[in-house]
Formats: sequence, structure tokens, C-alpha cells
Amino acid sequence: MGEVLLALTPAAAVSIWLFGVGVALNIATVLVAATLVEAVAVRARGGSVRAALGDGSVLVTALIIGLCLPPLLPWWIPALAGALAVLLGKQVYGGLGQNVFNPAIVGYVAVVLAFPQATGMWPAPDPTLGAVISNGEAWRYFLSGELTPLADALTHATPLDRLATDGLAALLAHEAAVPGLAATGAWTWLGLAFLLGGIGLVARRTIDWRLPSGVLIGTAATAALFAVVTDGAAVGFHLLAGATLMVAFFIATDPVTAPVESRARWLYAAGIGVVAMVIRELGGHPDGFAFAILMMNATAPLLDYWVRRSWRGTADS
Amino acid sequence: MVLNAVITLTLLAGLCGIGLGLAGRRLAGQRDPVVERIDALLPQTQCGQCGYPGCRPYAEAIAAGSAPINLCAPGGSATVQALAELLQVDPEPIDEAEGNGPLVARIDEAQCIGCTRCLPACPVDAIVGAPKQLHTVLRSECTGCQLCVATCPVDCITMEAVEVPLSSRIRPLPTPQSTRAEPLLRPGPVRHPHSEPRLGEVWVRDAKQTSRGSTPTTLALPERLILPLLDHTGTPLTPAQQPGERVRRGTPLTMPDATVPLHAPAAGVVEGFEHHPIVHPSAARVRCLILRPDDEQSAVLPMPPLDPPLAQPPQVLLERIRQAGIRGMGGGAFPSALKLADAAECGVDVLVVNGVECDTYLTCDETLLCQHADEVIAGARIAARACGAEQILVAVKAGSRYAAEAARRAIAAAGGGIRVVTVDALYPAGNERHIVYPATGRVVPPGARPPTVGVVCQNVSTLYAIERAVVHGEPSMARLLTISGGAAEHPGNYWVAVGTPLAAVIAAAGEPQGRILVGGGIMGLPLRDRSAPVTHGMSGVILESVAETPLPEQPCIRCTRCTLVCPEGLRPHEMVSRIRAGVGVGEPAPSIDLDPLRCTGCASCELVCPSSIPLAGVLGHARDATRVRLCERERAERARERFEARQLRASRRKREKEAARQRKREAIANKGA
Repeated sequence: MGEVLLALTPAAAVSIWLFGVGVALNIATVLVAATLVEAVAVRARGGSVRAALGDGSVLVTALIIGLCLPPLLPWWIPALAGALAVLLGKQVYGGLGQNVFNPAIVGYVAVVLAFPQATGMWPAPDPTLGAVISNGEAWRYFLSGELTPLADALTHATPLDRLATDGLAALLAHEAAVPGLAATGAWTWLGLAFLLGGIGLVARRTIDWRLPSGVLIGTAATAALFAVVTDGAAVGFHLLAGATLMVAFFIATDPVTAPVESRARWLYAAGIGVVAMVIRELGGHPDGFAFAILMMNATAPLLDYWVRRSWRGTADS
Repeated sequence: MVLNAVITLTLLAGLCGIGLGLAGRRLAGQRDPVVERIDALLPQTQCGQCGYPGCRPYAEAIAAGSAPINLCAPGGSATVQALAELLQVDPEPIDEAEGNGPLVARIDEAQCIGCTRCLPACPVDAIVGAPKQLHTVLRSECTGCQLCVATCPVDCITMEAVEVPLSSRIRPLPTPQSTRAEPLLRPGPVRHPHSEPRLGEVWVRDAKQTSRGSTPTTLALPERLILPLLDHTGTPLTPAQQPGERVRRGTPLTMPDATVPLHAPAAGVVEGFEHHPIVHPSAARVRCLILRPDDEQSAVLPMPPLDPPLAQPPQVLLERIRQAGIRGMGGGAFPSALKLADAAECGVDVLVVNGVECDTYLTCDETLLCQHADEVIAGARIAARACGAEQILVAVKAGSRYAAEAARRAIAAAGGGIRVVTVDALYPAGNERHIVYPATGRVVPPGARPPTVGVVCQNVSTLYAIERAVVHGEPSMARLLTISGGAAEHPGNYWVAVGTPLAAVIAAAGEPQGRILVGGGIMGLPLRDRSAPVTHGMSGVILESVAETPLPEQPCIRCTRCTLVCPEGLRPHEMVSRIRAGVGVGEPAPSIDLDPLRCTGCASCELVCPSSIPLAGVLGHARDATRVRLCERERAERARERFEARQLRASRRKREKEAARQRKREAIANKGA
């Protein structure tokens, strides 16, 4: 867990640099809520609170949720995400190692579905944002949930929002307006920060290289197919935009919710990429990775079973 | 509108109902009839104590609901529990007072008058005898049903308790605390920069330096020597002496027919026999011979040296190895004579001298090779002659350079012809199934032993003992033992007499701080009782420092490292979650990679587990449970077969008698006509 935390640091740093103090507030709120709920739930189940909190898994969950959520949110939304992640994502199944679904994604999806407007509101990624939205305004919104007109004006569509609502042409027009970077704009830096941490984890053999490779291959192959068939966005855009790199290196690689057989892992990871691309290109939601993760989590035991039966010839009765 | 909806829904419901009904009928599982399943749970003693003539009739009665489930006295509460689970009812308390263990009938031969009344009473034909001859009970077939006791007119049948053999004891499930220590503080797996963890390959960082290098010293004889009267299968050995008898050093303490005799490690007086704790996963107490050594240490040896050793026929060598009581000293303690004889039968051509101590602490084999390489090489030649191997290979670990040099020097001095092979410092390279490939290039198939590919492995210490027995006529009475660990003040290698209480060894080593591991740092068992004795297969005592003490267990995150390193291709993490949930413990495994019987207990999985889960201990528990259950099933099956054969015989007799009577009647009728 320590290594995963370390690998998430570059992404957290870039995120705070781009979006200001709100990210740190989110992470802290999720962490406090998740820790409290974890402590209460573990105590209720009769376990050792110290051991449960000492393994650092809550910290990783909080960091991932904090980086997934938009930086400007009233406090109850990240708090609810953290609490639901731990309670519904993990403890109801019997704690760490027993859960079917990735806890961080459970928490994230819960608040995305419950507060679609607030969680769909991303400010433009810009290091000078702090100068436009003052920390004081960010704090006020965090505590009261009342939007100041200024922040409202600043709210901007992410590249994926643009793709989902206005189509590829609008996206390309926007790209022309922001020269120098890929269509993903300053989001690219965030993606590269996740990539950096992820490569570190693969090099340290903390995570199985098959999982990120599978997600990226699945994403790229499906994106290429859409680019040809339905005239979708470029492969590079899909690999850099939204949560692709984060999911590939930090969420799909969770060993608890992934299958255990290597071939099943390939199928699982590629499946995440495929489902996410289908949702991005054809669905109404701007990003589909969270839903793709949950769907593939549900199939993980089946993939293991199937791989064992058809390749290894050993299936459990 | 509403009507439409109602009609649609009704039709839909009807269709679904029909579909379900059809599916239910088509796909109904072919389940065993319930009588079979009840019968399988009954102990098959056929004792009739339930009031039904045999187990099957009782099973039928239970299935029909006409009998309560608590009538089976021999099965005890375990059977009631199992029946309650099968039939989904609450377990009822057992009728009879629960016995304290298995019983076997014994006929007092001084009183038996040869009346044969007990013979027909036995439901499984376990009593043999003839009129006016002594009767005797076949102990292996007696089910302990006590039906014969009442039939004896002179009350000469008594029930006696049989000692539970060691092989049928089940080690307890480990508690979450009894796990391995912080990986950074004690020797353990290291991530090799260039390798993915692969099957049976754990790179271990060792702590051999602690005990390496010093010349072995001999540990003084303790006040009492404790010698477990057990053979390699865990069956009791019969002592040859009475309490109070004096024995000389090297006198056999067991009857000559024992597979592996036990010898007095010192001259002294047999004090008596008592149940004493030994080092065993199940914390068992077994019958031990207590020997009080005295000062008169005679140098006379009971066996004449065989000279020249290599000119002796293999049979003579094997017999000498058996007589000297030599057991595998690498840890297995399997009789070397049996192993070599089996190898000879398989026609092996290579003998591998196993000097690869893959454990993290042990250095006793390495030290022995450094100090007594000549004797080990001579022992290897003798063993090779005894089993008919033409080629000898000495396998040593990459790190033990001095041992390899010593072996090469000894080989050169003895005329060459033996190759020294260096194997990588991987765990568990010293396991005899794993050493074969790096040493010879042959692959032992899963589940098979090395002789199937023409290889036999012998541990360095065993070969040294063989040399002592054949060339010097000295039985196996002492061994070189490593004392190591962070808390050992005087780490090193010590010659220790077999039977020395571990307390004496620990006293020589220093003040223990944490756990004491017996047998090595990876596969070693935590010592529960310090009065347990040193045995032939015990290669080390590790005193853990506070820094080396175990970490609390954490939840499994299914990282699958255990699956990657398991040399047998098992899935330890899945097995452990099943075993802990009580699923299928003691039953045949659903697939070969979940079969606890294939686990060799090498603890590679435990070594790499990032959550410090006591995987090896949990798997060991399941292995014991499965083995015991299989034995019980086999015994019950045999009893059932004997009972059915007996019934068949009875009905045939009845038919024959009936037929004879019929013939007689017809003959009379014919005559009358």
C-alpha cells in the first residue's frame, strides 16, 4: 500500500497544481469520512481497528476518490463518497480482501449518480486558477455549497463532456483554439503523472503488468474501431483523456477485485477498456470507466472459472 | 388499457411458470438417495447398539423418519453432528456416555476356554478361533462394538483403549497471531531484479552467517534422555528392556523386528516409560523411554565393522543400515534402509548427495561437509552400492563455497569419479523433488518421487551416519544440530545425543526472547514444550529475537504470489479461504490445484505472503484432516465389506440348510409312496 501511495503522489501534486486547494480538501474529507466509517464498521464486526487502519488501504481509497472527484464540491459530497466506499464497497462484504467491487469506484459512482450536476462541474485545468477562484471562495463553496457567480462562470466542459454533448467537431474546434497540447489540453499532464506512478509500480512489480497493458490495449483497439467505423475521436485522445491512465494503473490493478488467472486478467482488463469506450462513444455519460470497472468486477470470478475450465482443465465443482 | 396490462402480465406469468416447471423437471439433479448418504456417515461398526441389525438398516430407519439420529454409540457426537447437518435438523445429545477414544476387544488367553460363543457375535468376523482352541481378536479389524463381551461365559473379553497413532492426529488451525515475522527484519524472500516469481522459485536472503564457520562442539549429556518409541509411520515400537535394566551405549532399545531400531545414545539405566510431549504439529504426547545416563561410558560397540565396506553385497549393507537405525536426517526421518531398498527396486542409476540446505538459518549439512567430507563421500559410495546407483553427484548450494571445495578435495583423495554440482540459492531447492532437475536435468513428474526417474537423494548427515554404521559399526545415536537465530548467544553447530531434551539445547544457546523454531527458519515448528526431545530428523533450533517475532495476520488481498511460487502448482490462498470457512475439509478436493494432499509443506507460499497469513499451517491442518478422514473411510468400508460377506455367508448357509431339509422331506415322501 505504501508503494501505491507513493506512486499516486505525482498525480496528486499535478492535480493540486492544476485545480488548487479544492483537491486537497476533497482528499482530506474523503479520508476523514472513510476512516471514521471504517473504524465504526470494524469495531462493529469485532475486529482490530488499529490493524484495519494500519494497512493504509483507506488512505489509497481516499486518494483515488479525491482525485476522481471535481475539485470544487460542497463537503458532504466527498464525505458521502468516502463513507459509502468503505461501508457499501468493502465492509458489508466482510472487510479488506472480501469485496467484489472496487470500493473507491463504488463510492465515486454513488455520488456521481446522486449529485450529477455538482459532480459534473469541472473548472478549466489551469495553474493560474488559484488567482481566479480564490482559496477563500473555494472554502466557502466547500463549507456551504453555495455557488458564487464567479465560479459558475468558470465552470467549463471537460474534453470528454464536449465529445459527449457537442460531438467530435466541437472538440476539434476547441483543440484548434488551445494550441500546443493534445485535444485533452492541460489534462494531459494529469494523465502523464498517473502514467509515471504506474510505470514505477510495474517496475517494482507491485502490480501485475498484464492489467494496465490489457486496459490500454482494450481501450486503444476499441477507440481505433470507433475512429474507423463511426468516425470517433482519435486513439491518442482516448488514451490521454479522462480516467484512462488512472484506471489502467491504479484501479484495474486492485488484486482483490481482479481475477487471479493471468489469462482471465487479460480478458478482464481488455474488457474494462472495451466497455468504457463503448460508453464514451455511444453512451450519454462523458466517461465510462467507473461503470466499466464495476461491470468487469462482477465478471471477475466468472472469468477465473471459465479460464480454468477451458484452458487449465481444472474447475471447481 | 388496464385489462390489457392484466392479461399480458397473466400470460407472461403463466409462461414463466410453465418454463420454470419444465426446467425444474428437466434439470433436476441426480442426487444420491438419502439412505446412501446417511449410511456413508455411519461408522460401519455394524454393532447393532442402535437396535437395528447393522448400519444400513439404521440408515434406512433414519431416512424413513422412524429412528432418532442419536442412537449410534460408536460414532459419538461427531456422527450425530454430521447427520444433523445432512438432514438439516438440530443435533440431539447422544444416548450413551461418550467413550474416551477407540476401543479394541482383547481376549485374556489364560481364561479363554475355547467355547466359540464369541465368534458368531462378531459382526465383522474379527475373532478367529476353533472349538477348544484359544481365540484371538484381529486388532486391525475390530470395530470396538463390544457385542462379543456379553457372550463370553467366563468374562475373559475386555475392551481396551488403543493409543491414537500419531498419523491420525490433526494439527490445529493456526491462530491469526502465529505467523511469520517482518520480512525486512528476518531472512526471507527478496525480489530478484530479473525474475518474475516462478514456480518453486523464491529467492531467499539467508542468515546462515550467524551459525557458520565454527568447529562443532559436543553438547554434554543431559540427566535424562527421552526417546520416543515410534517408528516413521507413527506406530508405537515395542521396547526390549524392562525398567531398571542397564544398557550400554549403542544397545538396541527396541525389539529386533522393528523397521528402524532405536539405540541407547549413552550407557545408563532404563528409568521407565512415560507419555511425553514431542515436537509434532499436533502437539502430541507419545510413549517415550526414559534413560538415565551414568558415568560408565564404554567404548564397546555392538556391531562389528564391515570391512571392506564396498566389497559387501548390497543386501548386507542394507541390513546394516537398517540395524543401525538410520533415518533420513534432512528432516523427514524416513528409514534410509527402506528408501535405498525401494530405490534399488526402482533401478536407480544416480545417487544425489543432498548438501543443499535451502533453509535460511541451517548450516549443519554445510559444516558436516566442510569437516567430514571424506566420511560423507565414503558414505555416499556405500549408499550407492546398496541401491545399485552407478553415478554419484554432490549437490551444494551456490553460497557454500567451502563445502564445495571440501567435497572436491575429498573426492580427489578418494580417487575421483564423483561430480560436484552447484545449484542456485532458491527456495525450496533442497527438497528432494526439486534438487533432481538442477543436479541431473531429469524432471520428476508431479506427485512422483525421484526414484521414478532413476534418482535417489540422500542427505549429507544421513550419509555420514551410514559411513559410521558400516565402517565403524556405530548405530545412529547423535546428530549435528544448528543453533541459530537473533536471540542465540552462542550460535553454531553442536553434536547432540538423540533424546536430549530441547531445554538443554536451548540452555546452551542462550536466553530465548521470542518463539523457538525447531527444524529450521522456514518449515520449522514453533516449540510448545521445551522438554520435548531431540530426534534424528531435527536439524536445527532457531531462537528468534524480538525483531524476528511474528507480525499479526492481515486480510488476503488475492495478490496470487502464493500461487506463483507454489512448487506443486496449488492455489494456496483459495485453499486457505475454503479451509477457514470449513468448506470441504477432509473431503476429496474439487480439483487438483486445490488438493491439500499435494501440499508438501514447504511454506514457500507463507514466505512470500505480504499479509503474513499462516498458509502452510492452515494447509497442514487440511492435509492432516483429509488423510485421517480417508483412513477412517477406508476402515469403515472394510468393516462394511466384512459384515456384508458375513451376512451373505449366513444366508447361503440358511438356504443350503433349507434345501437339505427339503431333499430329506422329499426322500421321505418318495419312500412313503
